[in-house]
Amino acid sequence: MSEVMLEVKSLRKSFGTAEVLSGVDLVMRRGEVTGLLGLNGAGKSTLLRCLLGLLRCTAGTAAVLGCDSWNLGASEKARLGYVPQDVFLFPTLSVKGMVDYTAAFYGNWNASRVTELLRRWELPVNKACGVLSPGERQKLGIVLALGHEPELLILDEPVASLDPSARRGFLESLLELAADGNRTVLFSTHITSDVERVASDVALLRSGRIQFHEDLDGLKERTKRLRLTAGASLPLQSDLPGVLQWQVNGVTGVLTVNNFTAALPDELRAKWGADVVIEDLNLEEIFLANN
Amino acid sequence: MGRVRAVLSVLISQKLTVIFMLLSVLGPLGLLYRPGETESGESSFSEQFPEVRPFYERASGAQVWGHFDWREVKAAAVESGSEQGLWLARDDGFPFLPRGASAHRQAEPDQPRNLHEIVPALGQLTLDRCQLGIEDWRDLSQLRQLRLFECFRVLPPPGKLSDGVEAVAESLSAFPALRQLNLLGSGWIRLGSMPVLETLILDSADLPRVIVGDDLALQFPQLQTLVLRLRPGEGVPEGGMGILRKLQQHPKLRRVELTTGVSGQHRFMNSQITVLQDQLPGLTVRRGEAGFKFGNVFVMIVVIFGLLASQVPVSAALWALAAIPQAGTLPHFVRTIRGIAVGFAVLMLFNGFLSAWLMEIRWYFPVCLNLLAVSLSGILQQLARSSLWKKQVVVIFCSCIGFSPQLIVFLPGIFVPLIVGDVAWFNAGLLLVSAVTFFVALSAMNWQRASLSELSEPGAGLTGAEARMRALERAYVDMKGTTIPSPRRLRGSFSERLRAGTSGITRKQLTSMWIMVPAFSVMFMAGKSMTLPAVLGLTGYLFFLPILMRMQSWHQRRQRLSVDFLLPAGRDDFWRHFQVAVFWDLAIAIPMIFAAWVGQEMWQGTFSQHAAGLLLQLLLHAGAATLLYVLTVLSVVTPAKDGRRYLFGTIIGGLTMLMLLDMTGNWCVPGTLSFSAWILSVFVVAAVAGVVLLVRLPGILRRLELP
Repeated sequence: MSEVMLEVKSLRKSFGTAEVLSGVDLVMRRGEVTGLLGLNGAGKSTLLRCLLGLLRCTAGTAAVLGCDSWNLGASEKARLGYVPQDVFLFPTLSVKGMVDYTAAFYGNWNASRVTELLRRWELPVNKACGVLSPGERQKLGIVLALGHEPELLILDEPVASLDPSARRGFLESLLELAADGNRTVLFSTHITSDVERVASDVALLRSGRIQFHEDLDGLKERTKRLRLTAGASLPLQSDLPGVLQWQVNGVTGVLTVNNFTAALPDELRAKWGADVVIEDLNLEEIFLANN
Repeated sequence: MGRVRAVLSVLISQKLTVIFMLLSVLGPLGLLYRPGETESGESSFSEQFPEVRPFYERASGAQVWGHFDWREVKAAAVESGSEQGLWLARDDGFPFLPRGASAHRQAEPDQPRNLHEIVPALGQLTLDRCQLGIEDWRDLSQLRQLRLFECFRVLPPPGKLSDGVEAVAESLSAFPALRQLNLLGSGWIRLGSMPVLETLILDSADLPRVIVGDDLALQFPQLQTLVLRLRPGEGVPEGGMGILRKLQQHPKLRRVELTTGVSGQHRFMNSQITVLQDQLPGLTVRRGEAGFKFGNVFVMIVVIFGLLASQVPVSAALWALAAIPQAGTLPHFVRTIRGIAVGFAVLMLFNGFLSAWLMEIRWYFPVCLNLLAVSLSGILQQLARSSLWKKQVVVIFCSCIGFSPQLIVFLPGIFVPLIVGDVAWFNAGLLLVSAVTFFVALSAMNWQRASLSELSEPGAGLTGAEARMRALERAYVDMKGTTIPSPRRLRGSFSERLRAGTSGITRKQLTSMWIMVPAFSVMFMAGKSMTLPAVLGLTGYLFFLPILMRMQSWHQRRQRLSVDFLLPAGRDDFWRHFQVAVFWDLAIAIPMIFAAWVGQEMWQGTFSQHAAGLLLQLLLHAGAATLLYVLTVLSVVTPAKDGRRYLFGTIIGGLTMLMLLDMTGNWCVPGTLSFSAWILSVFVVAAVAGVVLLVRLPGILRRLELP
């Protein structure tokens, strides 16, 4: 069993009377790349900020790199990278100045890698940060977060303002970073295709809790859509366990389940005498089915 | 055109802007029509003694110049709508017997015969270079409500001197309500018994001649303050010292105040104060404000209070404007602070007019108009969100607009002396000092800031000693404690690197400040009474702008604080370094404020006394500076949409302006008594709040969440 890089237990976070997180449990191990999915306002950013020690947990615990999140030390932070949803750069500094500023804080700054990323993403090094486009700012924010080659990288919707080309470039960099199996990445996003492209695991935050957190293949394996055609009318309500969606139209129905097993089709045939067609779902469909 | 129209419509819709514009128009008007001026713009007395000029000007009243008679006096008093004060003065410098004297009385028996019939409720009377007959003096003593009587170079009545002296002494003793008597250049007058006199002002050289008698406590039973006007270089004569020793036994006399009416005499004044303190133990001796009168003090307190309070709306206005984008989330807050700002701005408008009209606080306008320019540029910048160079043009344009009324007002006063060669050339040296100080301080604004290239190449450009110091850096960073490391110790530290993120002095800021330099420079050259402390104070004012800009730079960092917080440092270490970084970015204000404060004290000549008071002042200033610092830190870490951020900003702006006024008070505010009394309470509150918050600051930061 590899090292636990991140661990959340029964985490609750309230702002006044509004409880955003109500008992989150999450564990990530070294080498995992997890995409955190959730609707707007689900609490993804709040969860990430609790993990980083920016927000204090109302109850429960959050630990990163073996250290309580609220009390992260210099050594833990040096192994941590973070890209916020809105990247703020010093407007009067140039891109190079911003890189120099950030590099000054780290002893293991990978200048060649940063230069390579700047070149690959066509960031103008002498341009003032104040006049960068939102996409360029986001790119630079990502570069700055990758410069010290963090062991744990936390990204809050990092590609929201990137064009498809830049998004692809970012994902490739993320894959490179994770390729050695020694880096751990947790990123929140709405773009499920990105998660599918780079994530090994996926977590869904819903109603203040982690609804599931597992490897992507396993998720797809157990979440299936079954199209049923029965001899008689199907019931309007299903008493089957693990049903995400159940749509009936007379003798036909569509069933989405999150606990698919090889025995389930036979069980359905036996129960309703139905023909069963099994469909794989992509992550977006799984996401929608779960919300 | 569309953009211009949009800008204009928004400007007009801003109530604040309209008020500012009215202020910029009405203020100069107030200056132009200020009463008490001759055609040349200066009263003869104030021309001779410019430093005491504010104290002798009337809050209200009629002034009659030239060959007046009582009818003219009455007409002037009625026309002015005030019969409370009269200033009877000559403008040709020759002795003159008013025709309101006996000759007029005999010639026109139906007309009012004397002053007390014309203005029976007269409270203040000034005779300036007049000559009254014995009968006139007797008539004057019928003014039952006269509280203040001033005689400036008044000549004795015609005829035998001894008779005139005796008659005048009798008349003066007969005033039933006379509280204050001011005799300057009128040493022939002898004072008899004056039962209700509280304040006596006279030339020190006249002391032995004016005050005669052995039992002074019986002669002036209510006397509380004696103000002596010293001639520069001359002390109190021995005969006068004898009188003072007698007065020392007076049961009610509280203080002796010294004045010269001429600036730049602080050493002389200090020495005289020391001499008198030695000679008169038990009496308070200090540099005084000659001619303080109740009416003036009241007006001054009102004006000064308004002056100080009116700085708040400018700050509040700026913050309200800054809050406009938040209107969607904080509508009630924006409305409230706008309302407050408008209310205070109305007060500022009224006060600006009043102060210009009555008090000749002309320095009020540079402050107001500069702030006006800044606020206007802020509004325009919000509207014209385009490229950087355009913003710079906007700043320059608005600064010029802000200065134009000021220059119009001062043009005659500035250029006429230059044209006629009547320039205090010594001030050229002061100008040089100011210019050097200005640019040195500008350089200091980027004091000990590491360049980014140096940060990216640790050790580059360091001397051996500095390199060794850097090697010790880690050891230092690990140190716990509350002491502030020196900039040298700071080199290479986390704090220094944090500082590197805030911008240094930018070209735009330099441009804004540069515009002010020539305006102030010309004033320095034209101002005969401009002293080194005043120059330092004025120069200090210029520095507040970049300091405020630096604070703004930290404010902007709020949005990046969560990322900076994740830089490799523990929670407590990070906040400690953060506080140190903010401290050093604002630290340039400390020596500047201290220097201005020292200069002010030097000018007032109070260093030789009140050591405890000076220490208290120093502590209060330090306390207020502490509050500024703590509030800056707190406002940086407060979310942008949080009302507390604006509250902190408003307090910071108001307190900064208060300190600015305090340290430049030597040239801006004529008196220190009312000013100090008012400001003391504010500074006490600020100091206590600053210290309390400073103690609590680490705890606050430790619990701070960063959304």
